[in-house]
Amino acid sequence: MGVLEQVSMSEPFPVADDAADEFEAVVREHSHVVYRIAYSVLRNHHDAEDATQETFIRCLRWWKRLDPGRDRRAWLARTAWRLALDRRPKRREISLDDSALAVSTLRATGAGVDELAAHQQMEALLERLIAALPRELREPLMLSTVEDLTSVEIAGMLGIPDGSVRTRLMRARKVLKEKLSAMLEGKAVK
Amino acid sequence: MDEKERSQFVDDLLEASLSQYGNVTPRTGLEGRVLANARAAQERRARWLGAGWLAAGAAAVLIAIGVLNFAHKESIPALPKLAGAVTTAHATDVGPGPIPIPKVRSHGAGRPFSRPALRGASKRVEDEPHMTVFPSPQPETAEERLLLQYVRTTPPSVLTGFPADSAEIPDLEIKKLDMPPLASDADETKNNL
Repeated sequence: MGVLEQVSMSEPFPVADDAADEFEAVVREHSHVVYRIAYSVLRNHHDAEDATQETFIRCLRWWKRLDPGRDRRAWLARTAWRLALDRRPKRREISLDDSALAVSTLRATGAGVDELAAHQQMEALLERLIAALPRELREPLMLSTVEDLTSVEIAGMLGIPDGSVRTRLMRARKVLKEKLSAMLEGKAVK
Repeated sequence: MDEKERSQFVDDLLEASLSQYGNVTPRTGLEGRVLANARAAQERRARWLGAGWLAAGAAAVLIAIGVLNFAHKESIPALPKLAGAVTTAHATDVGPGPIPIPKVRSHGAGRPFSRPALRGASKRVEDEPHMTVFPSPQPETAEERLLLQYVRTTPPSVLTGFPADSAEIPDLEIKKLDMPPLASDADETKNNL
């Protein structure tokens, strides 16, 4: 018996049984994508889980008004995104020097793509590069890193056309590539 | 490494890094924690709602008691007195005199509080014959007739309280006022010396 079954059988939900079952199914189905969306913004497990909890509490609060026919996944994704943005700490002054130096050193030792990508310094560097992007490029890119989201869903969350999402993603990747290339060559990046 | 290879390497590195960037797995048991937290939040909300309804009910009862108490205090003394005063005045036929206008305490914008009583009073006034003089003359009552008969048959000396053969009081004589002028201060000092 899994955690869900234990929880649901020991204490029934204060809502009707069928609604409790349905809510439980929604949690089971969408909690991971909600968590990933929150994590893409907050970059912290604890904060991401808090945002996930809050998202589902809001979902439960609005349960009766949420049309079952509507896409609950889209509603959850949008809510998680907004909650995460609200909880995100203010942007700090970003220094790329340390991470860039570490990645450049790794590259010089002949490390491959996978080894470099898995390195902690590379993750920190990418995080800082993404944070340094302008907002209209940063947000689609952050959401595109969430595996389960399509460009249509991202467009719905950001309230922009699907084509704009793809254009912005291409521009963001181009900017990132230019900066990363410069760093690997040991050039200074603003 | 030529330019093309370098570009390809950066592309691959970026792709792999972005995949790694988004590849995050929550701690085990996320669903259970979410459900438990949602349940707790729902129960808290239900408790607050219950407490809110209880408080609202108590407040409604208190307000109702207050309103009833206020209405009782205001209406009970006013209604019977107004109606009773007018009825008694005409029932006993006190005689010609000004019709007592009941004083009604006004509330708010000057509206009389007990409308039914006033309507009753005005109806009784309208029942009386309309006279051109005010106060309207009324037929004499039995007491008044007896009083008039007494006045007619009783000598004036009895009525006034003086005996008929009492001696006349002589006219008063008032002495003429004589006030000599005051002496001046110099004459007075001289006299003292």
